[in-house]
Formats: sequence, C-alpha cells, structure tokens
Amino acid sequence: MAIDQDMLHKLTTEEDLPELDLSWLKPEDRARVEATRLRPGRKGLTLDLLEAGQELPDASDDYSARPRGAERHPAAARHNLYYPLRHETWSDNVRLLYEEAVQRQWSSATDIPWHTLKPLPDDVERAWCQFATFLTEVEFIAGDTPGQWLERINPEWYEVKLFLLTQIMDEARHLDVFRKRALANGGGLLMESGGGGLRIILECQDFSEFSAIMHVFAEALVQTLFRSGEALAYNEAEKAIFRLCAQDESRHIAFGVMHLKHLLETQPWRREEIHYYLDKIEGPLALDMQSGASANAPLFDEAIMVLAGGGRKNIDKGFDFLMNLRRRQVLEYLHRLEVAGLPERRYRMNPTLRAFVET
Amino acid sequence: MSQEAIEVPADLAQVAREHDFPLELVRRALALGFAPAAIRAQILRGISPQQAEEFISQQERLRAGQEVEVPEDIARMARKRRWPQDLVQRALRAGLSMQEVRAMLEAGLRFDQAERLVIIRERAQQRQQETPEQRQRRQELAWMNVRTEWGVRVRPGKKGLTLGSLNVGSYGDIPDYWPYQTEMPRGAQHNPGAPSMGYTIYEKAELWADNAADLYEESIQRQWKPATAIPWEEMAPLPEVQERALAQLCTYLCQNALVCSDVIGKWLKEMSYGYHEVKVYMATVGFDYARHFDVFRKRAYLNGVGMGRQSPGYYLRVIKDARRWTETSTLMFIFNTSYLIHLCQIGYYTAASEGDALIFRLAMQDLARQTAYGIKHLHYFLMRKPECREEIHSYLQRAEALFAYEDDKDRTLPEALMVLLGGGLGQEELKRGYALLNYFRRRWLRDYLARLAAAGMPERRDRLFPYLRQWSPVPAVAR
Repeated sequence: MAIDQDMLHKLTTEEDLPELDLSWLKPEDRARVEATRLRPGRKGLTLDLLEAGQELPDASDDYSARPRGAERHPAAARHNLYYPLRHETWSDNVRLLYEEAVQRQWSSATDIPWHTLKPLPDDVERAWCQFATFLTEVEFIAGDTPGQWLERINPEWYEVKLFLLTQIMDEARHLDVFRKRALANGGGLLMESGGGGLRIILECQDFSEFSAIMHVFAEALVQTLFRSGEALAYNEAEKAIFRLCAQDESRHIAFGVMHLKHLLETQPWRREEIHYYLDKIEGPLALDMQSGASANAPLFDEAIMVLAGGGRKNIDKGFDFLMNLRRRQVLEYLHRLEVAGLPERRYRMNPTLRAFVET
Repeated sequence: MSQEAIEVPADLAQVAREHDFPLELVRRALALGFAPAAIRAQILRGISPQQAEEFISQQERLRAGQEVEVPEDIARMARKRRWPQDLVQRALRAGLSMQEVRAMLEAGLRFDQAERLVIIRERAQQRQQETPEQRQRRQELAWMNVRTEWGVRVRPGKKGLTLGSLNVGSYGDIPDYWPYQTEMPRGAQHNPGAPSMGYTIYEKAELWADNAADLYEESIQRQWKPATAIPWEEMAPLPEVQERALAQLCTYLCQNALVCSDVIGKWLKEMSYGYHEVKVYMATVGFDYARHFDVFRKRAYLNGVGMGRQSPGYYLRVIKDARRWTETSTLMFIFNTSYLIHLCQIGYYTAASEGDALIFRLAMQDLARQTAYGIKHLHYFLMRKPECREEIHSYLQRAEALFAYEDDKDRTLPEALMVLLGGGLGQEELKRGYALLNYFRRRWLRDYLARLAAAGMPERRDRLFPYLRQWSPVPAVAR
C-alpha cells in the first residue's frame, strides 16, 4: 500500500497538528517494561514462551475489558462481573492446549477421504445415519455451552477464553462432519433424540460445574466411543472422522481434568459440591445408558448395536459390544477422576454406572 | 432337545478345549439358551468349570420352576434396599450369578435401578430363545423407518464436501420460521418428547445470510497459526517510540478481540438449530478473534514492550449491550470490523518487516469475511423487514456517537497511530502522522458507508453522526 507523494504533501500542509498528550508513551508511567526480546522455540512463538516469567495474578478486582499486563485506564467502563479468582476457571495446561488446538485444526470438507464411502447395506446405512444424527445434536450443545462462559472469565486469564474459543470451533466442525456423513452416502438424518441429559450441560450455573459435567463426564464418554470407532467404521472416511474427533475431544478432557485438579488443590472445600454435580449428570445419563430397558432414547444404543454387529441380524453381537463399551466408558471416566484427585468417586458413583464396572 | 443333540459351534469347542473347559458344560449352557458368544466370553474371562457347574445347575433349577436358596447376607441387603421379594430370584432367573446380585446390592442399587438391569437381561434371554421370524419382527427398529431423502448422495466437489453442498432436496429447504425449540438438526424427524433448549432466535430473517455456509468453509481453509505462520525471528525491533506505538495499537486490537469474542459466545446459545450454517460460521469468527488476540499480544511483547494502555471501552460496550442479533451483527461486523480493517491497514502501511505486514494482512483477511456476513445479513434482514430500517439507523447512530465520545475523551490510540504513521516524535513527523491518520480515517468512513450501501442503506451517508463527518470526504485512491 502506498500513497501518492503529492497527495501526502497536500495532506500535511492542510492540517494543523492538535495538542498532544502522549502520556501513554512515557516510560515512567508504565508499570513495567521488559527489556527482553522473545524468541520462538521449536513449536514457534507459543503462549508458554510469551508468558514465561510474567506475573500471573491469582485474583483481580478489575471488571473492565483490560488485557493482562495493560496499563489501567482510570475511567474504564466495567464490562462484566467476572470470576474474581483465577482458580475458578484456570487449568495449568491451558496454554499448551490452546496452541495444540490451533496447530491441529482440520477440515471436514477436505481432510476426510469421502471418496472411500461406498454403499452399505440399508440397515447399516440407516444405523450410521441415526448415529450421526445423534452426534450432530450432541455437538450442537457442546458448541453452545462454552460460549456462555466467555464473558464470565476475566481477561486477566485470557488463556482460558482462547481455549474455549478453540473448543467452540472444534464442536462446530464435529456437528458439521457428522451431518456430512449422514447425507453423504444416500441415507439422511433420522430421528431426533430425547436430549434431556444434554440439557443439564446448558443449565450449569458455575464454570467448574460446567467443566466437570461437560469436559470430564460427557466428553469422556464420547471420547471412549470415538476411540472404539474401529468397530463401527466401515471405511476410511468413518475411521478418519473418529480419529480426528477423538483428537479434539482429548484436549477438551485434558482441560477439564486439569481444571478440576487445580480447583481441588486450591479450593479443597469444594469437593462435595463437585460430587453433587457429578451425581446430577450421572443420574440421567445412567438412564440413557440403560436405554435397552427404558423408553429414554434407545435409538442411539440400538444404532451402535446394529453397527457393531454388522447389521440388525447380528444385533446380539452388537449388544455385547455396547456393554463392553459402557464398561470402558465408566472405567476411563473413573481413571480421569483419579487423575483429577477425586478417587473416591469410584465408591460414590451412581450405582447403575457402578454396576457396569462391578458386575 | 437332548443335550447330546446340541451341536457346539466349532470355534466355541476349540476355545473350550484350549481352556480345558468340559464340552458337556458348554452343551448344558447352550441348552439353557445362552448365546455362544456369551459362553465364549465367560471361558475367555477364566471362569472355572466348578463355578460354571454351580451357575448352570442353579439356572437349570430355576428353569424347572424351583427356587434357589439365597444366602442370608444377600437376603438381608435386599430387604434393606427395599428390593421386592422376588427380585433376587428374578435376577437369578435372568441369568445373573449370585456374585453379580451381591455386587449390585453392595453397589447400592435401588430396586428400580436393579430392576432395569434385570429387564435388560430378561430381554437378552428372550432374544436368544426367539425364532428367526420373531427375531425379524423385533429387529424392525422404529427409527429405521423414518422417512429421509433416501438415495440422495452428496458428492465432494472441487472444494471438497462443503456444508453448502449438503443443502439438497428437502435438506435445502431452510424455513423462514424454525418451529422447534429442541436440539433437532434441520432435516431430522422431530421427537415429541424432546425438551426445549431455550433459544430465542427462531426467525430466519433475524440471523440469516446466504453466504454463511461458504464463509464457514472458507474460514476453515484459511485458518493460520500465529505461533508458526509468522516469521517472528526476523522481526527486528523498531525504534523505541515506534515499537511502543505499535504495542499500543496491538493492545487496542487485543482488547477489541476479547470483547467481540465474548459477544459471539453470548449469542451462540440464542440461535436455534434450524440455521446451523450461521452458528458454525460464528464459531469460526470466535476462533478468528482468539487468534487475533494471540498474534497481537505476541507482537506487542516480541521486542520487549508488552501491553500498552487499555482503552476505556465505552464504544465496545455498545456492541456488548446490543439486544438484537441484527443490531449486534451490524455494529460488530459492519461498523466495528470496518474500523478494525482501517487499523490493520495502518499496521500494514507502516509495517517495517515482512512479519508485521503478514500479521496485519492475515488479520484483514479474516475480518473481510466478517464484513461479508454482516453486509449479507443486513441486506437479507432489510429486504424482509423494511419497517426496521429506522431501528437500524438508531443502532448505528448510537455506535457512531459512542465512538466519537471515546475518540474525543481518550486520545491514546489516535496518538499512537500518528506516531506510527509519522515515524517518530518530531514536529514534522507528528504532522505527517496526523495527516496520514486523517487520510486513513477518510478511507475508513468511505468503506464503512460503502458497506452499508451494499447492505441496502445508502442513505446513511447523509445521516452520519456529525463528529464522523470530518472524515467523510472521499480520499484519493491508495495504490
């Protein structure tokens, strides 16, 4: 971009310079000026390198939109009633997870080998479409929920905001890729699920409640399902969908586990409160998991059984797969809670879930 | 059928032999109706012949109408948990072992929870005993009969399998009003028992833009990575004053990105799923803002300066305070984004290195998509709701007035831009910077008004807030 010299001359002679303050430029007015220059490392210039050695406050009474490290404007407008304590939203791996998310973005349009989709038997295709319809719904909720916490997180801890924005992006891609799968092989979208369990995620009133329910519980179940996707995939496109989605979910779970760990270490008195949140989500979801016997949305389980069995004639084989899947889901969920510092959950878990582990 | 007549499947027989498991027990289990796969799983899990004998005998007694003696501790726990008297026997008849019943009780299962598990086992048992015809009937799974656009395959095109290309047949029918409050994807069959998710935007005119699906795909294809896409190593420090001025510009852009991403997050949950194209595009907008914050913060700190002074945030509150999505969209994607592009143009014009130029160029590329959505949406909205034209003017008036208020009260950013554009603090440099700033502001106003004209509001040129009119003359075209 260049400006004609004649025009520049005309402009500079026409306009009088207003009185300037320039106080923003005075070094003595600045709280701190770092003399060091940042150097990118092996993974480029990451947030970890950027923030190394910088102060990370534990509390903030600033309710404006001031980015951390910026000089306060004395007359700045308040923007939100943010969480005032870092512990209420922080996770020690958040910078790493943000950078990883940025590096590992993928495209459902071009990174899935859609050409490997081949016509499937009708019952299998319909099962895939029902499966994909449900997962599209799940990812809708997963995308909407993190957004509602953004304005409660203080810009002092902007890293958490950035991570949640990557999660919203991930979930958009997931809902998109499952919709594409439903429509790409001649099937279409099938039946909407009941959705009651999922609404609990939207109803959360606290960030740690949201994170425990969504990242540690719900996404963990979905992650185990995706990682078992080999048994449900009939071609390379479906395998790629599971693999890429599982990769994204891993980051979300990692955030949730480390946030819970941080919370329990810094606010140990909240342990019982966390158990309450888990009781709340385990109950309804446990019903869904028992859906072979309940009227509550059996369609997802049935679709899995048809897919895993290779068709509805082998639905019994699929039932065995489903029961093993549930067992793995519960075991992995418990393992994550142990890592987060909540090992006693094994003994306090909803009995219906516990039965999957102990019977 | 006698047990001798029951043929053990070859693979099951082989597993039994490999584990020294008597075939007679296998035959008795098959005679009871247990599936070969279940028996195989038990053998592989290491069940001993003695345990199997105990369990099979128990099942045989139960099938013969006899009851099994329940150990006293289990009976006591069942009473304590208020299980109905026959539930233990029923569980055993359904194929659960005594150890499994004990585990259920120790796990604290209430009677209703235990009964659900028992029902599952009973159904599995029934399945194993049903005839092929019964099985065929049962496997008529209701959801398999949902009507779809069966046989319509969407093929990937030149740009892959894009979101917009999915809108074929009835899936391409995007209704003016979305009647469902649930999480139902467009094109699926509604489940009457599904609960409301509490969205507030159900009308297409309130959020739609015809280019949303294309913008979503373009956004994903053009995502860039601040950590690695910018040649950070090669970006030598500017003279200190300019470095500080650039950091001040970056600080403003960081703050703006944070506020705008909050606003996106707030609105996502309001948009119903009938218009998922807009929702997923907004997810990419939020991600763009995250990367903008990231890259501008890194640039501010790169050469030792860091964040400058925060903006008072009066003008940004207008975007945050919007109460209608079209209001938000118009202020954020037409007014604010035009302003941000103008700031990025200054950053690009003054860039002393390829790295700085690249940062601002990439940011502008993202922002251009936002204006494309904002224009298309406002156009769509005004075509369907011409009676709301004055309402939109009132929102713009408010944003322009608050911008003027902040621009007049807080001169931090304009001064930083002057220093950056002039190249220093000398009188001549500042004068040059001031002239150039006014030049760029004229460009900004020209582009802002042109975007509004494209959206169907050419008259805004005549109704511009008076403070902004100082920059309204059309400038010379930059090369």
